[in-house]
Amino acid sequence: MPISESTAPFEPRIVAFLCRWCSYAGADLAGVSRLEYPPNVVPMRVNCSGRVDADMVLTAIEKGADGVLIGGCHPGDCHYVSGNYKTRRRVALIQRALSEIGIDPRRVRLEWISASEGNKFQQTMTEFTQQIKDLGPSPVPAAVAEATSDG
Amino acid sequence: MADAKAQPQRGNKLKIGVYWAASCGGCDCSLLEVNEQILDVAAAADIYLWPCAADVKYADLEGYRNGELDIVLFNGAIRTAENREIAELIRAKTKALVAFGSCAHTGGVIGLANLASRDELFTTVFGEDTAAWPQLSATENGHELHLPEFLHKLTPLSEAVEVDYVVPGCPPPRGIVSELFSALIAGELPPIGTVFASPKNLCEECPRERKQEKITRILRPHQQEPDPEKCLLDQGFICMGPATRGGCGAVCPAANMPCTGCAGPTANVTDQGAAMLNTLASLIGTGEEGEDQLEAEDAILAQLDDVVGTFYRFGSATSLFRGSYHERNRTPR
Amino acid sequence: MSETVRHVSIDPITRLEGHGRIELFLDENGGLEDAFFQIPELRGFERFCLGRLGEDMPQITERICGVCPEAHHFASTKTLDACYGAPPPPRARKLRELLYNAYTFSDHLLHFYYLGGPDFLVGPYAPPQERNILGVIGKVGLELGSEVIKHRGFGQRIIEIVGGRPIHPVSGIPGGQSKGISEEERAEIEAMAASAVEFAQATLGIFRSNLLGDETFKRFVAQESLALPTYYMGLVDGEGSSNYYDGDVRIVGPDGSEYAQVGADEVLNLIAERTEPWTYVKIPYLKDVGWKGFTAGTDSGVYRVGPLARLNVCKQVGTPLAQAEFEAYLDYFGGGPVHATFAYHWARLIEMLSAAERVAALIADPDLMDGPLRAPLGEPGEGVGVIEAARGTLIHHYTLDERGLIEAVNLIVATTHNVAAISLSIKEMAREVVQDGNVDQGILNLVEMSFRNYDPCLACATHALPGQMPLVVDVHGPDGAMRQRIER
Repeated sequence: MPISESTAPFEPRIVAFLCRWCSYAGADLAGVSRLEYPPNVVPMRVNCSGRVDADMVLTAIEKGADGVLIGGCHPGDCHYVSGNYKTRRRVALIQRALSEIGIDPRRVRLEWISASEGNKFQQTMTEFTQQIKDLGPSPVPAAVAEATSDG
Repeated sequence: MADAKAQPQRGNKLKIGVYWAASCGGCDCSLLEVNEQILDVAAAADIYLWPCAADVKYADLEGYRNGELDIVLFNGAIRTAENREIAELIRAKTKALVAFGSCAHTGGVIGLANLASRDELFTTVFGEDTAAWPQLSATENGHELHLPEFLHKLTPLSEAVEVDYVVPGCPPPRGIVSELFSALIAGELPPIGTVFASPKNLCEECPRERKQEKITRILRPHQQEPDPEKCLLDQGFICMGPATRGGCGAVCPAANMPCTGCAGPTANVTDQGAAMLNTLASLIGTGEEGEDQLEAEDAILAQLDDVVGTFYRFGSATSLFRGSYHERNRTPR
Repeated sequence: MSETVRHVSIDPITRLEGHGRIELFLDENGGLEDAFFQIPELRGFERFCLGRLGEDMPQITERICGVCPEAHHFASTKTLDACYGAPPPPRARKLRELLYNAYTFSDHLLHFYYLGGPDFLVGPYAPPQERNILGVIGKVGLELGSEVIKHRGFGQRIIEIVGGRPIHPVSGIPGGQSKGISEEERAEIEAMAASAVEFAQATLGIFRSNLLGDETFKRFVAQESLALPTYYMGLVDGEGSSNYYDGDVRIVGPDGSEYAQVGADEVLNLIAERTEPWTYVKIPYLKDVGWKGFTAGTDSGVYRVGPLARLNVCKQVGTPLAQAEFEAYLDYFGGGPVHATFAYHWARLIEMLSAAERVAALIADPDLMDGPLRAPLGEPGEGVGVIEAARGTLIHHYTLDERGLIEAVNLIVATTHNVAAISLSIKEMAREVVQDGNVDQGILNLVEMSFRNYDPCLACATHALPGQMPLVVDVHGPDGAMRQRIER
């Protein structure tokens, strides 16, 4: 069944896992600085980007997130020393898995955003939201509907 | 002729069944791996269903009373509408239902079929001409013939009916099957929900020496003869041991081959492949962490191929991603 | 019953591997009008093998069948040998052959005592609850029953020692084996092999008294309508001896004359396949002879594989004790080729003995214990591997990309070759035994006995070749008349 095109434009639902020491603080800074960015993001604070594992990203996608962003500290700045390096390798593997199953790996993005980079946070969210808009809705909900459509 | 201790406590013979859905027959054969113990089972139980080995038909199964059977060992995944119907029928006719083997437990290797749509799969098997495909109904020489529907997605048994016990493995190993039979014969089945395997991961029982070294190079089994004493992961072979239930004696690593994860995930893990992805991300590295290592790390990651086939070999049907999407060229039918 | 029964389903068929159903349609006189052999299962290995790592294929494809996983495991491994240009060194090759013959012994034993054999060991008219291995043990006694269990265990134990696991072994790698065996294990196998040879001989003795001595069996063996004059296919070595692990594919016609003898890669060109809308299995036939319907003869492309076929294509069996049995077998039939379908049971036991003899010969070879286990690999490419599964010729064909991933995969699987013949056998038997509308469970079991000859593996069967084979489909309208033939 074709994905019905509603008259309203597609508004992506994006989950952003943000590490409390850097990128979540950067998001807060964007907030108090009144920097505007699309409202499509659901932020989730984690202690370290290294906390974000494949289960969390895949669960977000399974539940219908059109995009997942992981925000961590710049290399060398991780509050827990090397969590962000592990994140980076994990994201690489997750993106590989997504490519293989036919989901565009660009739906998962890793970005280094420090506590002082409110602007970067704004810019990243704006760009990422647009990218997801361009990619269109996640193919997951339609596929789940088809899979459960057996007579 | 039967050994006295093999008599069930109630004085009546148990009524047992074995059934296969989308299956290879390996689980049925695994029941014979207990060798002579099968005679104890035969002394304690009557076979009320076992298409591989006995002549009970579906009409006979339908004729049983609800709950008449004591236990059914159900192997195979739910692939066709018939598999699902018979699973529901069996659930009604038996007191205890066991998801026996990897396919019934997590969908098994054949769950990899979910990585394509049904149409894609049929196109590969039968060709592009849909008129050439098998049909749900066909008439031949004036006679009506039917085939069960091949469902869009393959699922494990627990998504069709409620399951009481799980015996993991592809197939379940001899020791575990023997344990199950002993419990059955003694009339001492464990609490509902029990999984007949170790709760710990395979590493706990693998005799190889593990140092959790960094994986600086990914090796495929044919690229190098492994050191027989050292952990396969330490050597760079992708072994699913950390993400897989033990209980099998680590026979694959003993044969110099990495574990492929057939017993499914340990108790606290929802997605076996994701657990292994996480593990591997921690293990891959040059030995040092830092911005200057990133390029080398990427080079190691690039040596990995077929992530899904490796990490989700037996669990794709129960993975978090549940199938395939092909969003770039997906066209509605 | 005031009305004649017009339609009966045997559902499911039992005492074989896999899902199947037989639909019988009776005419107004209660005789057979038509019979259909339907396979309602499909899993799609040809599709989900695409994109996999080549070296994972032995362990993935062996899950096509858990009764004959060794066949797929080593057909696959041999295909990878070819893909990488890496024939295994002698030690690895002999270890594989050792395992493989133990598997052949074990699988044939399973069929005779557990699957098809009970019909005669307990009796074709025995009640259904006795027509199984437990009934066999009840009839022959616990001592012999224990010997049956023990020797099947021996076959499985040898597979476990050499292959790592008794079901779904893991040792096959491109160019070799992942492990060797210890001296202790070697001694253990040697003792088991000697016992296996004796047990195989004893089984032939049981065959002679319980089957050749049974009136029903003799009648079915002699009955002309149950003998199908088909073509036959099987592997032979350079001397024309039967070989289960390797060889050329030899095809002979119904009169025994040679139709072709080719390497594995060429046999794919000799076979075409067709689909029918009422079954998930595809039906191969000899392309140049053509599809003439479910019929047997020189003009029909229907052919058979498995023990009956292998004995029809070989010049000699290849091992001495089995050869003597083979000569007695040919004597009984007045020479080959033997078309009597019920002779499959006999041929299977001759092979069981031959396989045991091969294990006994191989285990004595010092090459097993010394030398490299792996050959160096070349660059990945295309390859074909052929082997004789217990049930017939099995071919795997892969193309690997430059990283060694599966780009293309074809499988021709043993029982698939037999599907047309099985359909024909079922129909002939049903025609023979269904009279006056009598379709009690005994009669229906006789119909099932016709397919049990073939020791079918239907999970295997629904994996015929996609893609490159020529495909012919007849499209029927709702009235059953053929509307269109589609060919590719």
